[in-house]
Amino acid sequence: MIAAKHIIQKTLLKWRLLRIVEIALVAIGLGVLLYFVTGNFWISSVSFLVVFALYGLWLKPWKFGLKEVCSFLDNTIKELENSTSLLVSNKEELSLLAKIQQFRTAETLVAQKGKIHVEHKIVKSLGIALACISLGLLLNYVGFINNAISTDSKVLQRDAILFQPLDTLLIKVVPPIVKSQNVTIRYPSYTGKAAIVSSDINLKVLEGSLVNWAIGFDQTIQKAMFQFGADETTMPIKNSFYSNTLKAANSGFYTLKFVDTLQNEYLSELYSFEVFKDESPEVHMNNLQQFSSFEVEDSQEFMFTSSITDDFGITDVAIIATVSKGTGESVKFREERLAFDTPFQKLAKSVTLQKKIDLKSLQMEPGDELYFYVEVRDNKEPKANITRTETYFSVIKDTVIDTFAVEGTMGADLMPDYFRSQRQLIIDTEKLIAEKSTIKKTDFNFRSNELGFDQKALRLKYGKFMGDETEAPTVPKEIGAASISEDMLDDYSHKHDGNNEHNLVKEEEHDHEDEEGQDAEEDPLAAYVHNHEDPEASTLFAKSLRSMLKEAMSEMWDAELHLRLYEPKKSLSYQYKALKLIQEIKNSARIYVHRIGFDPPPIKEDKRLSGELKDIKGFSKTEDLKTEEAYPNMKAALETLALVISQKVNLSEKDKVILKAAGDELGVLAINQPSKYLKTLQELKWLSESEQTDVVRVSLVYAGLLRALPNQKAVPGQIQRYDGKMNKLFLEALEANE
Amino acid sequence: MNNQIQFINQELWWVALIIALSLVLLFVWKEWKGKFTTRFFINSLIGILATAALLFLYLRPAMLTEVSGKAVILTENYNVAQLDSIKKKEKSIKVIRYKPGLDTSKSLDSITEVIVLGNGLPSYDFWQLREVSTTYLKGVIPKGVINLKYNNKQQIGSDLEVAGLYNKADAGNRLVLETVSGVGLDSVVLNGEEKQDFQLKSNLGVKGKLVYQLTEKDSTDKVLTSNPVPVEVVEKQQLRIFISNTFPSFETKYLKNFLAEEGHELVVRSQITKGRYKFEYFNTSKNPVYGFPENALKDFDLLILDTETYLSLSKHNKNTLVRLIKEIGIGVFVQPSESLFKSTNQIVSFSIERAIGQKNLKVENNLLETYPFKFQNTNPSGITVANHSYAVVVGKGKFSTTVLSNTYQLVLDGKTDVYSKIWSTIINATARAKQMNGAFESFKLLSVISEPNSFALLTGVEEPMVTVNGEHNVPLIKNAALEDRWHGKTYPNKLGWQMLQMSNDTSVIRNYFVLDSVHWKSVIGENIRRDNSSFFDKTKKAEVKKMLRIELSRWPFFFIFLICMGYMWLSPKLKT
Repeated sequence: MIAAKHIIQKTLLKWRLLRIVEIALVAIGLGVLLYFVTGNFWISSVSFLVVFALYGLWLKPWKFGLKEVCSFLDNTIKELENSTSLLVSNKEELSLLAKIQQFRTAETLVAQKGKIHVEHKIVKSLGIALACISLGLLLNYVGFINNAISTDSKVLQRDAILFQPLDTLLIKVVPPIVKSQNVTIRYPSYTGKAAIVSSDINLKVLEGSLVNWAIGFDQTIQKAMFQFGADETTMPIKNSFYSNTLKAANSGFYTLKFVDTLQNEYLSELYSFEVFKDESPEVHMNNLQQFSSFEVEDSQEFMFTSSITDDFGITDVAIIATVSKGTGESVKFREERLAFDTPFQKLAKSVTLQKKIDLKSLQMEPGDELYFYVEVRDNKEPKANITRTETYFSVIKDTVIDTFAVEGTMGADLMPDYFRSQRQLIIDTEKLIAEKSTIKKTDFNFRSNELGFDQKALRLKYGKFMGDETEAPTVPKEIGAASISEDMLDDYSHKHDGNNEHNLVKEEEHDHEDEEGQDAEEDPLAAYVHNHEDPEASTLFAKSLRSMLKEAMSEMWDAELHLRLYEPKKSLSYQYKALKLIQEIKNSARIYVHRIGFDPPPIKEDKRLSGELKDIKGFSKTEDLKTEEAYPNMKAALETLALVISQKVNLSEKDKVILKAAGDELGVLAINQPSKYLKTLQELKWLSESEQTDVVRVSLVYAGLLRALPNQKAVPGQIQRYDGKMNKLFLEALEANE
Repeated sequence: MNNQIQFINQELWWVALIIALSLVLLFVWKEWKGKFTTRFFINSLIGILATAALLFLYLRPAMLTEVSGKAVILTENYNVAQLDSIKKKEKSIKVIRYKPGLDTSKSLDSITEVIVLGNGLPSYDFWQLREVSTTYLKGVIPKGVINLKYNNKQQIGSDLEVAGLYNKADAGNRLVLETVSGVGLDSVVLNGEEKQDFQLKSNLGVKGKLVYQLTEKDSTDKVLTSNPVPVEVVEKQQLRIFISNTFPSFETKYLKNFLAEEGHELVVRSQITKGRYKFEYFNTSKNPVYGFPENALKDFDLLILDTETYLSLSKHNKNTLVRLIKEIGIGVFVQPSESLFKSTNQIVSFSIERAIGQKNLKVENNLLETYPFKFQNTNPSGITVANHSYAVVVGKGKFSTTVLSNTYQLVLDGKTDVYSKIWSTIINATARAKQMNGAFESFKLLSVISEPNSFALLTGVEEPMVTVNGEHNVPLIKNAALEDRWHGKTYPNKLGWQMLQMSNDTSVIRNYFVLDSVHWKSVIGENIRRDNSSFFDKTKKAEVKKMLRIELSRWPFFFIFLICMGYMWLSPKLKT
């Protein structure tokens, strides 16, 4: 019974709460909308209360009592048999039957309590509230309601535009006062920034922004002017506000001026208008070295992160990768545009992106190189700012490249490192001779033969320079030409490396009879003249490189012979000779480059030293080099002000024109160093506009202008003199004395 | 004795005499009764006596008498102790307190000896003491700046150099050269010496009539005194320059660029080969100059020749050049080389000696390359130009050279300021000056309001006229010895910049600054002291006899007249 009563009470409470929430939601929504429209917290609070009260009056949640809850329960739960009201009736007043019914109903209600569903419009109310809030946000975002927001904005004393009358005679007149002032800065649409109302009159705005000034006065005035640099525009009146709109293009200073109905002029102080540019995005590459190389067998993957920031939003990020294959003339490039692995959110101001690059997935093979950089664009319009990082390199090491070394300064390195050099052979031979007494004869012979084989290999290797791998010695000394049935070095040498004749200088004496014959046919005189043009053919060299090589090989032949005959001692002398010859070849190996220089045109013999001048012409040029005087108006202004200070006179209209011109010159300086010159510029502006001549101001401007002027260097000039009679007499006396 | 009697009312003495004689004649005629009686003689004598007495009563006879007396004149800054000791010695000494412009003739009429105490009298009041024997006892030297030296008319770009002497400085105080608006430009700290030299410097970058301030501040930056330093800064005048070189050189290349950029008219002639030249005209029209023709060259203010051109001048050309310098006043500068200093065949003698081991000179705090020579400065017509150059005056013009070589290196080093300073000094000292029709001279550096200011005008104009600020004429007195020298005096009654101008040629102008009497008191005081010491030393007279005209008493004449009249009235009555 009590439980049933409790359920009824709870349902009533729930119903009331739901109604209140509905009312509150709608009121909040409308209140927030009004806040966005008016910008005033109090207005929105009052509107909230009003809406709350009105909506509450309309819904009348207090009228819903226990009776209503009972009938609601009767309607929703059929099992209650329209008897819920019995539960709230007084027990004493009820008949027995009613009491029984009450008891039953109580039980039923407790059993059926899950079926109770109180009706509500919370979702609808929430929808209204959200709609109102988003409408407010939208209006604010678009900047549609800014004027409305700031119309009633209070002018702070600190930021108030200060006007001063240009004529002191009218001190008794109550001057018009700035009642409201607001500067609206509307950023370019791409920035996505809402228009803002600046409280600071000294503005700092993004290039391309639209700036609007709206000034309201407490009295009617005749006209208001906006002065930017040397330009002056009249501000049109709109809804009792004088306004002016300017698109931010370059920095400068501005003043506001107005004329009241009594023709008195008032001028504001000088305010700065600084324009800043949209910065290019900044990119930092983390965990990445400028150059990285990978072994073929290792995994060719690397990972890096890029931190990108921009002041208004990034629109595009990409990795521009270039793969190069091959070397020298056969190099091929392939460019690819890669995306970061981390998904990139457009218009974000700061992102950190990650990328894992697998060189294999780029179809790179050993020896291939990858160059890549990150390119970022921001959302600036019409032309985006683009930032590129440095270029990074990644290489898969090539295993095929061998470093040949015959001799350091040879034109071509053809010697594989598994060849024994002549010097090594000599060392090994000497070692063998030294060990002869300690080792077995068979061993000795075997090793001698081995050395003989190495000597052959070396000889054949050098033979390749000659273009003939199996060339016989020119002068076999003790035995005849050895024939080699098969090239045992096939397994070791690269065949294509052997064709290297073009790297060698021409031979002085031709081996091939038929070639010689051909040459003889071409130039029958060749055999009889000294050909100085060919350095190889010149008699300056005792022996050509080729013949020396041949000699060395013949020494090697002999050395090999004796090694094969197990006579390392005999072989040693030949080996030394061969080594000496190779050393000589090394020293004489040079690459000849044609010398490039100035070849003077030949002088005609008949013209030389003839003293003929008729073709030599005089020359004349006329030039106006006079440099413009720096800051002429500032100098003129100083001259004027100096007189004003020392003679205590007032500034004339003509003087004011000079001061205005000086102000333009100083303005250029002040943009770069406002802290240094702004005050002077302000006072100068004042003097050039004002009717009165304030001595303190004149002194300030004088000092400021003097500070702004660069030092004048000493210049020569004509001096003025009067040659009096005394001078003449003196000079005459001097001359007479000499 | 006769010339010792004078009459005070002597203007109409002859009228009085005629009237007296007429009276005597009338009297004698009235007494004449036809015969010479005793009575006639007595009455006539009485009548003559009465008339004479009457005449003297009118003429007021006076007698020159020798007088003597002593006085002490107290001027500003006098020493009280000196006055006391004088008073102790001479009890009856007359004390006169002098104020500028005070007429002392009345007080000094019976004075024969004067002692002046203090700074003394300004020179314009010296005439007051010409008649008396004067002893000048200097007062104490005033505290403050007692000597001030600077050029009050300068060209734009030059430096204002204010030099002076400070007496009894307070240690720790500062002297600051400021603009009129109080911006400090240069300062010097006073070290408390008895007398301290100081020099302050500032660049003159703006033309016009400027007024700087020399301010003394204490260590807490409190302004103690502030005095104006007026300077007139004039714009530079363009020169017309001709440069002739036998071959192009870097020195000429940079010099011509410098001069052309400054706006001077420049013709540069460089020889290409025999008879062929390269002409460059800067800021002037094309007008080639071959050789050294007098007609073409006389329009130039300065000729710059290299040594080779100069030494290879023909005799005819040399004569032309000398005539141009002497008569027209053209300046010639020779760009030096070793051969210039070794050569003896020159137009002028630069009096050079070899300076062994001299490789460079310190100019404007920069070591500059030089030729190993130096100027001896023995030529009486020679002028040393800084420490590097030398000019010789030849007639109206000048001939100069320098020991500096390769000055263009300064431009390459970026020291264009030093470069322009060096060449400005040389060119200013050599180039022809613009001939004016007159010039104002001997103007005091500081002229004070309400004090007479003397000036001299030098001009060849027959009857010159001078106005102050174009308003008032100033009477001029011609100098007795020099016929082109005129003297005048102004009595400034306005503060600040004033202008003296010759009406016959309005380009002859002198601007001067009139100070308030409170400014530069110590400098002016010291100047007066100096003037007084030299003036009273010269004019001190051993013994001055002063004759003063003293009127004879008129009572005796009156009594004579009365007795005569009484007799004349009584005698007829006594007879009857």
